[in-house]
Amino acid sequence: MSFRQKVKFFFRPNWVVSRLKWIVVRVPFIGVRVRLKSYMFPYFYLSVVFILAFFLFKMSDPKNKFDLFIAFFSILSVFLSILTVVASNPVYAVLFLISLFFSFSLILVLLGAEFLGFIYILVYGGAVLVLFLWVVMTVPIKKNKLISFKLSLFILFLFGFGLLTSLAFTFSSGIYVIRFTPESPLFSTFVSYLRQTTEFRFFINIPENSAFYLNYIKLLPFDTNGYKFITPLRSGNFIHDIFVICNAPKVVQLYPLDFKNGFVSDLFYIYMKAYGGSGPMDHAVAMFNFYSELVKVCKAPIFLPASENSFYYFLFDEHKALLQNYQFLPSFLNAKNYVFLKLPLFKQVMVFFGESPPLIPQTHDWFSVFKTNAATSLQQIAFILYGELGVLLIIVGLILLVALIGTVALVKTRPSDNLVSGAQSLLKKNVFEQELVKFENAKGI
Amino acid sequence: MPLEIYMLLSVQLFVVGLIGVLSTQNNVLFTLMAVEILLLAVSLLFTACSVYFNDLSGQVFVLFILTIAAAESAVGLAILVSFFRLRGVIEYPFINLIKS
Repeated sequence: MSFRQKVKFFFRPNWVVSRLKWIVVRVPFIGVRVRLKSYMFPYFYLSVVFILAFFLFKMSDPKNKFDLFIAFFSILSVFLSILTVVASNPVYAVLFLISLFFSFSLILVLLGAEFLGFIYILVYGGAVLVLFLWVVMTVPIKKNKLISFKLSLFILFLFGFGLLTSLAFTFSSGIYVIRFTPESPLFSTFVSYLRQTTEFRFFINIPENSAFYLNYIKLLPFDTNGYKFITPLRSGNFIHDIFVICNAPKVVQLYPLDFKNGFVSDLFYIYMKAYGGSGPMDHAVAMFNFYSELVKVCKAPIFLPASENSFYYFLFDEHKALLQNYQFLPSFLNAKNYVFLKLPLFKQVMVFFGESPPLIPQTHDWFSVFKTNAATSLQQIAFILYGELGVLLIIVGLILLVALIGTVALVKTRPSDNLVSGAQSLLKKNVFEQELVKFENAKGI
Repeated sequence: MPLEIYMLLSVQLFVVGLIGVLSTQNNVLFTLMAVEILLLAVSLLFTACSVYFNDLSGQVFVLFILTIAAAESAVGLAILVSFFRLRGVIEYPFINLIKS
């Protein structure tokens, strides 16, 4: 194209459209003397993978050994999914998909959902992808052609925009850090703020031989061995829910629960602060209310299965408490003397009152995932599956049955005689093309 | 690891799957595989949220999703195979010939 032709092209009659086209398509690649083709499309997407990798390794906790592995496997899975999509040979695509499912199931195991991870390997690696491979190897499939580069670029821009907005939403979801102790003047404003806006939850660890346990746990209508229970305690505007976690007997006794020893008294302190506010309140009446609430709670518990790695340990120690959960915390935050508010996304509040040594040692046992809660989580999944979601299980089983029968029926149907069968049509391709032309003529295309 | 990372990861996988659905020109099998990736992304989100919020019903729903995905892929591949036996080709330009 000569210069004059270029100028002519640029100033052609529908110049708005042409210039917009030029700006959108050409401007990002000025100076790049490469012919852009559709196979270059993954390289643009790899930049997004690098951004993701940066965030992953930034947010991973150096104390937790699993985090690095999760980051590695998640990046690997994104990479493998891209390879699956853009691969031209279907056999390679299926193999990439198998490895994607393996890395995904490893992520699930490291997350703590090891049953699901093994099920994924079983179902996908064992059944579905073998089926895919069988189809690929029996049916002669041509190589995959991606759509034209401009269209793929448009799609990429579209989803890149969506991805960037989702990134912005997730990372601007508001982590507000406020320095805070019960004696500080911020306390009352904080309480009033919480009263209006948020749901507040306490997670309390109650040992086996504490007074509370011995007195009130007998009222529970089911066996407490081997399970963890969380019971809500409704008390006023401020403390919406107090969750009482009764641990399994293997947990060491940490805080005996009586008023002299600071555990209940701290709860009561906050209860008083919340109820009484600034005005005076009768101590005995408040105590009575408090105890009655506790008793009420123990009569109507809520079963909630919990896993070990996502607990909140909210332990009181002389008007100071420690929320010992590092999972939501970025590693750059020092978890001492802070209020950790995370409001806009999930309406969760995490409170760090003061400094206290970690009472439950954080072990980094490599096989702790398999040792601790594998059996219990399986039990709880079965409890939910056959309990409250039993109807859904039946429906899903029916769907599977229908799919099975439909699959067999679909594969067993023989092509009728007036049609050309697959092998014949492969041999006589002209016949098929003639038929195609006939069909299209009949259709009126 | 915060929960946002898992959400990001699932969005990422979902986007890749959508691109896979939209950008295949002629091959039905690739579309099926991209749909598998989409379901994978959704199940990752379910699992992460269930682990972080201590609610195991999310994992049970992931089991359901897995079942449905297996059924879907089986039926899709069966349709593909039967269409191949009928016509000898599996490509998008000819897929409207499935009605005989």
